[in-house]
Amino acid sequence: MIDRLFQMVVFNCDFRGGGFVLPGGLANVFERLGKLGIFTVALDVLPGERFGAGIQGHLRRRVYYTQDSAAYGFGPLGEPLSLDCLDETSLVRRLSWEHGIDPSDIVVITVSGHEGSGVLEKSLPDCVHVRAASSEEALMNLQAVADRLEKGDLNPLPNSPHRDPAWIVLEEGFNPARELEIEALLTISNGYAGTRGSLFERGSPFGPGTLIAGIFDMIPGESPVPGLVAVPDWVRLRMEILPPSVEGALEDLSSHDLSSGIMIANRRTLDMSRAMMWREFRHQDPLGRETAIQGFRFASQFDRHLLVQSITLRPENYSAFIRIEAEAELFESKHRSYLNPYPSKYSVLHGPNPTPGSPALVSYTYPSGAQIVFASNCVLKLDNGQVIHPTVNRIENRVAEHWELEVEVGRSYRIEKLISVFTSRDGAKPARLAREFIRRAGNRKIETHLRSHLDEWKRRWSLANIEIEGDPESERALRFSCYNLLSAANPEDEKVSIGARALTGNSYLGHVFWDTEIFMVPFFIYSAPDIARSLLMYRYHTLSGARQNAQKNGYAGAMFAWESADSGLETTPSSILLLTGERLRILTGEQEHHITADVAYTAWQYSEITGDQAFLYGPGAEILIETARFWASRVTPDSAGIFHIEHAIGPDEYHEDISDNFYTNEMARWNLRQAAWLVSDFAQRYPEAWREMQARVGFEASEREKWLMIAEKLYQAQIRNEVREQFKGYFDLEDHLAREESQPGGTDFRIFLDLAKLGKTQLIKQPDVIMFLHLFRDQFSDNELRKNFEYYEARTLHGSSLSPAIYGLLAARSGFPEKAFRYFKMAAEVDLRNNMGNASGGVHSAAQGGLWQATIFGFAGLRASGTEIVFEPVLPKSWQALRFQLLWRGQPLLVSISAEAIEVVHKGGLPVPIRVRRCDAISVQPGQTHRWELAANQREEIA
Amino acid sequence: MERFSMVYVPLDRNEASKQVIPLASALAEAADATLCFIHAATHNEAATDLLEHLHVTRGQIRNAMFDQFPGRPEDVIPATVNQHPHSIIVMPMSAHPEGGIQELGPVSLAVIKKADCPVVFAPPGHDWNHWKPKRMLLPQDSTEECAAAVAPAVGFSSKSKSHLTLLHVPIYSAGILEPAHHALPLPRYLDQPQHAIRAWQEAFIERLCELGHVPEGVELDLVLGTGDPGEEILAWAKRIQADLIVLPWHRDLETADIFRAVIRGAECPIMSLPIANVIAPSVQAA
Repeated sequence: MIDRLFQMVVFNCDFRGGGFVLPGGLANVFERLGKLGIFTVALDVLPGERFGAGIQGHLRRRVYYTQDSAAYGFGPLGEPLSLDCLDETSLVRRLSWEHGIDPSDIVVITVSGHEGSGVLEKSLPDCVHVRAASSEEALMNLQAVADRLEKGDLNPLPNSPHRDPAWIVLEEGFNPARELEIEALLTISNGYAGTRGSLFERGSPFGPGTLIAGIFDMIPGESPVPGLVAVPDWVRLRMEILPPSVEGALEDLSSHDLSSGIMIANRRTLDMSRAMMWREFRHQDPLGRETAIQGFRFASQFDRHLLVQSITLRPENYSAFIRIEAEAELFESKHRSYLNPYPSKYSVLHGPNPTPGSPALVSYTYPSGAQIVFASNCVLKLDNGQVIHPTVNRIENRVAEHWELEVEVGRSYRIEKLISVFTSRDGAKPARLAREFIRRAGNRKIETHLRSHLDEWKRRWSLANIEIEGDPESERALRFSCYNLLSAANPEDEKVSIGARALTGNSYLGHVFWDTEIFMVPFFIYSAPDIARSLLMYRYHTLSGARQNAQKNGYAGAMFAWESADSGLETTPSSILLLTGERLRILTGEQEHHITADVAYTAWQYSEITGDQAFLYGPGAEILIETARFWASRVTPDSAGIFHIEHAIGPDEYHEDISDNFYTNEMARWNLRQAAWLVSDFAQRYPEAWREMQARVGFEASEREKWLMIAEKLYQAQIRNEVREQFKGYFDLEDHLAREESQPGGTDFRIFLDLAKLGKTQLIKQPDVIMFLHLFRDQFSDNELRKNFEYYEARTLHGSSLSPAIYGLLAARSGFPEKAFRYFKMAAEVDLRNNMGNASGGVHSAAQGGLWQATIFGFAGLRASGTEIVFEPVLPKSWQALRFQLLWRGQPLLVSISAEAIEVVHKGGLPVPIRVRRCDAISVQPGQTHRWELAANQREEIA
Repeated sequence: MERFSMVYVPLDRNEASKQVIPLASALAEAADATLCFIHAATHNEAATDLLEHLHVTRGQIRNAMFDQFPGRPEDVIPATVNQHPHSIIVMPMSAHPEGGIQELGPVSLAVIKKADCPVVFAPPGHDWNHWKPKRMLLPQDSTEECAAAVAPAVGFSSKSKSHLTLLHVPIYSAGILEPAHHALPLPRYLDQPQHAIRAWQEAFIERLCELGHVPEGVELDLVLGTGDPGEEILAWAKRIQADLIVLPWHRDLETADIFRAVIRGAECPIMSLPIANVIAPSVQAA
């Protein structure tokens, strides 16, 4: 008998007998369990059967099966995927770690007498094994479990935020001066939609606080470029205590509603473990009537089209007639953001509607033709379980779902709002999709939606969580980084990427920079490879735009846009009117070309670390070939036959229109050589596939030789006392050292505004030479690393949020542990303390990725290739232990580092070669825990 | 949003006090306010005698009220005006006899110290007959106190249909003003200026409107000055051809270096807005 909640159910039953006679059959049970967030595995399915066909596409993601000695799962769109598993035991083990499910949360149901019924009990001893007399009995048992789960009997849901301060971001009170960055910090997002943490009773000063990935429109102006559009503010809720005399006269909501009066004990909490924003406050109106209000909102990680808000009101010292209004702003007619394009028209497709429970639909159409539809299903639930559907009305410029009712002191009234969002990117008829989706979603309890959401996050955190013993603040900052990165991504959509501020704010217009590949993707490679792949596929899908960029500028191959939106075409504004009244020409779109090699580099890194051959010898190869072509056309030879890259900008953007930037040249050199290697390897390894690729991209054999020749003769930077010159002529510039007061957080930072002056000095914005040293650490000696670090660090103003984390990382690797920790804290505070003063426009996603890198590549000293993993840890003094997980070539490893030792628990199925510092590599076997004792001086170890 | 209902013009026998009448009249018209002349006298006179005494023509005081009160001007003017909230006083600056430097005379100094309402000072040597408020410049220094001047300035610009430009002159010497302490953020660096500038501009204006309780729907321009505040204000006033500088006024002349610098160099009228009493909004719902 199953009497508790399991995360995964394995059916080891007689599928061949076709004995399922229950109403709805097997598909019905699997679908119900899938909706409840439970994974199901069917072993030994009848050959030839199209298993899963009767299960809704998006729910198939939780279904696995074996058939003809092969294992299968389903992709994001419900398409079957073949899994590389040797047998049933290895399939269950793999699913256990992939989904972060403890074996004790897996139940294996075996029908007595079924062939091989005793095998799994022996091979999976940590799972719970249940015997059933027949397949029907097993299914009936599970039907009963599903019934109880749907009623919420077996798994009570959280009713308050996580209690551990290292898992939350708490904001108390109300401070209008900080409101904008608080909104950014408390954003909930699932990579499809993101909603800032604005107050539901008053909205945001910035206007609508929800952004949808991939929906751009042109921002009018002198230099029109696409920006993420403004969409309805779905979180708004009004409550008004009505005077008895005017019952029924409900037009005036301005007198005693929640946006006036006094806010007592106002708390907003971002619960990072659950990806929920909680709200709690007491409201007192001018007559002293107090209402306790508590609620949460989340963007479902399971159903990305679903947004949920639940708010409970409780009159504390009064009974009265009240009006509650959950609304969707059609658009904020008075407020116009400077940055978001607003819709050109809107229409209310379904509302007012006399049928109780019918969704309210609002469609927004933007000038380019893009469409976004919001469908709302909102109910009011009383203490006694009664559900009251709202009346839907158009009131002024909003669609309001409203109730008028008598409330009693001490009773609770919960407003549950489900929103489905679909856009013209999702299909030709987004309104129909939204309506159908919300109808289905409305048939399920909010607890069910929340459970599915929490399960997905639990799975993500099982790989991404980082623990730091002795420093809860740093631990919290790292979780904040991981939370933001995970919530920014949508692995189900390969045609969107993560913008500089993700979906947490409108700064940078949602444009995608090198931030994604160089700063964010490394986190995903080791913690969520499916997301890393999806982000790289965005570049693959925008190759067409990149080819057009190259062609437009007279180059060959593909030139990735410095700023990319939906098409891959360059979207950097060409000029800007400065606040000082001067016009500034923007050259990054024309000259900051290193991004092209950055994308190629990350595509290579991804395939190296994950072992994803299908990507490398497919989209990855095409990216490397086209980018190599670009570089081959980008260089110009001098009379001595040396190639140069002129009119360039490196990562240090204070110096524009320079020649032979070290970072750009070396990345280009790598790109050319790696592409040359890959085409040879491809042709040798997969000749047939290579011929197809060759034909598709029109590759000629002579190209490879040309790439190698250019790479050989590309200008090499001058070296002075082992320090690489950042670009040709850099050492001749006025030598200024960076002063603390001139850096962000200092007292006088006017120098940042004088770009012309900066260009004449050796002051730099962010790591440039140092960035390359980080990416290619193995090519440099410790001494070279140290000398370059010292030279450039003294001249860096950190005029970018990308800067501190990389300096922290390199400081740890260069033997400056205290400096490393100082930079780590600086990076950790970019958003959490708004130490650069611009978090209001959204969280700095690249800084979050940088912080993860500073920790894992810096303090843990992780370096990995396709053949081994190396750890060279240097922990900050206050960190007693650092624990994290990583995936290398599909093998999950749990790593614990302290000052005394490194311990690696291998949870995968294949041996992993691991080296600690300069020791010989040890092949750690599956299931093995290996410990390395570290010597006190941290430079030697005793194995 | 604050509206002004009375525009007071102190009159005496001095010709300068009468030269600002067209300016005051235009302000009253723009603000839809009543124009009121006020005279401090040793004893009350009949209206006709008073006009003659002050050398004021009937045309100059058309559509206006006229009051006279016994006492010294430096006492009478603020005391009278303070009884009428939502007022503006219009007075001339004076030119220093030696060198012609613009400054405030003793009565003006007394009035600005004691008056609770805005005072508009007109520089000497200008003909105000065709003056209209079309372009206003409002300097800001990042502080919440200063932000309190935005709502009244917006109110006046909205009523008068004039364009309001915010000039932000950050303070550097006193260290960073943290948003957590109710101050506004300063641009700490320019990363990708094509985005950073607009984003900072939007954030600055929105915060300012939040702190200053400015209603939604008001569109404001923002420019930045990085040099000496007094010089920046005068330079930007010239650059945008401002016809009114609105100066938030801390009511402490001893430390009002910027105020004095602007008075000395202004080529257009200056409206001082007293901003002494700012209520912290942290415990109130907005």
